[in-house]
Amino acid sequence: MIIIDGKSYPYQPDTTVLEAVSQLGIQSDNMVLVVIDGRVMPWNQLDQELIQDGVEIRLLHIVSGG
Amino acid sequence: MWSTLNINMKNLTVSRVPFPDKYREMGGRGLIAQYMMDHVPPTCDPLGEENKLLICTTVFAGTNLTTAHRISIGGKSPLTGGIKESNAGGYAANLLAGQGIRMAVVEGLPDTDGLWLVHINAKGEVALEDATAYEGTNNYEFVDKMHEKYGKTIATISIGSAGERIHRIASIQISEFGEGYPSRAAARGGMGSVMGSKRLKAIVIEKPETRFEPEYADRETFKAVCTELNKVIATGAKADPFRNIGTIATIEATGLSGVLPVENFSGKLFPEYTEVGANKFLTNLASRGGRNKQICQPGCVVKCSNVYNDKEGNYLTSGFEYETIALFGPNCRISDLDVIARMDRICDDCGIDTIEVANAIAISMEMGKIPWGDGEAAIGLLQEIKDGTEFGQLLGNGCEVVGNALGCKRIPVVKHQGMAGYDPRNTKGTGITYATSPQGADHTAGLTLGRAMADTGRAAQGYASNKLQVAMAFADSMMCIFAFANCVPSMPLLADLMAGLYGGKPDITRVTGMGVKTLLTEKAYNKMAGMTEADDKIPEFFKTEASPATGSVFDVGDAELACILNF
Repeated sequence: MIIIDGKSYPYQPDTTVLEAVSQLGIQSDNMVLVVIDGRVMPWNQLDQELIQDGVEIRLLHIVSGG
Repeated sequence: MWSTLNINMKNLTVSRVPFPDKYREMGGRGLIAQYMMDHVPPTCDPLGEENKLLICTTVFAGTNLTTAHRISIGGKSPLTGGIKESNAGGYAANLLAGQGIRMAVVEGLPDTDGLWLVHINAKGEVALEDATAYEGTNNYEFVDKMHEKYGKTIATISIGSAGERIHRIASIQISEFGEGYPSRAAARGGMGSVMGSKRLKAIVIEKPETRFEPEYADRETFKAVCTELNKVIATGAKADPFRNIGTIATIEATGLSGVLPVENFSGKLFPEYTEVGANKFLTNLASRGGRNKQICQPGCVVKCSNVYNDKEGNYLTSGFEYETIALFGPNCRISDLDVIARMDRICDDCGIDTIEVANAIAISMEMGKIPWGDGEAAIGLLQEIKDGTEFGQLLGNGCEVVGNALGCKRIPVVKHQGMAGYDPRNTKGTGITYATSPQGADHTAGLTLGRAMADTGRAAQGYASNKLQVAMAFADSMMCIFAFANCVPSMPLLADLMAGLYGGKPDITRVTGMGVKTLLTEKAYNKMAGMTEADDKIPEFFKTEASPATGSVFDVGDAELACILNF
């Protein structure tokens, strides 16, 4: 299983991070930070990184700047 | 009844008078705008007798609305020559409100040499005290001395040596809640020099024995709505990178898109930004006993602040923010987060705007005074400000002064104020805000990043800037803009809060109208101060030099800029 924002999803091998978050309608977008096991993944690498079984992903939405 | 604290530096008196009813439904930025229009001649000398320094709490001061205790400091800016509102978090506004003080007005210049501070004790008694013993004392040492004298349940509003020397980019530092570090900066526009010109070192506020309670038109409704809105903001904040990481998270949005300034706004990319990015920050915090998710004022549910320690695990700085990191970092080609943290500490200590001085250092590098990327040399320049050397005096007066002195053609200022950490070619709406905001190149006045179509395109950028400038103008009258960003879906609740506190019907135009009125008042003030449409301009090099990262130039024309704030 993988966890995205606290919800569990089946693990599918050979799935990129981008493919995994795209299931939730998230586009590759620099205003959404993808945090994988506590580390921010640069958004231009999302389609290169394969997810691992048991990974925890959080999606953080930038709403302001400062 | 709320009070105004009148601090008369000519007569050397301090007194509490009733807060004028005409300003009843005003606070923060809106209050500063109207008070300036009513009482401060727009053509006055910003460092002269007629300018006033205004220290204001928000429209919701004294209530439990999260982040209602932002502090707004304003006056005529010696940097921009126009109206300025500079705000910060920290503990001071909470204690001012607890003391029943809605605003402080500092006026006049002393006839004699000296330095003073205002002390408000736990009983609410106010006194103007001799502060010559603290002359030349920078903010960290000053706060330590105040803690020794009055204990730790105080708040301080203070200037360091930069303000005492009347440097035009001097900040006013506010102590944060908790440890009391003087790390919250009312930084933009040189309000520290206005305070220094009046020879006021600090305002020291003790926690009141009995906390002042505002009068509510409908207390029960207010409290119910406040609870609901606080929950909305807290829920939004859970998914906000500012809560989970800190404002440094912004670099993950700007670092790959050309928005992050690099090498004096060259428009290039800086792959080493990851060395000063979110992951490095979190690693350093975790391995050194630092902390994020910190509050700077009681009751904040956003919790964006942090404590950053050095390699030995000792406190180095706090309130370590994106703007400082972006502009001392990639914009100077510095890729060492610890070096930047030391610079942040120096700036908070001597009381100087990090955005402005970081731009000045980048210009110094461009003109060969020190090498690009040389962090120790950059720290050496900051030390020159502290030491008051000839070049330090230039640096202390801003990046335009430094640029002109060194013959630099690429000076990133609007209304003489240095740009924040967003390249206007690659976030054009933000560039429009820089150009048209009465506050000068101020990102907090209306950052459009990610808000309207493509940031490098032109579609809807003017619209986004207009809407955000209105929103920020009323948000800066009410609360922290980070909390506001998380309450936007429930914005009508702000109208309910206004009605619950001040009476009348819940009407959202009462809220949005506050923003429009503030902007129009500020624009009118600036016009009377002598500003024209010629001041609403982005520097030429942004229009002619394409960003190598994106190929984009700032191509919003003057005619379009002239329409942005025509309501």
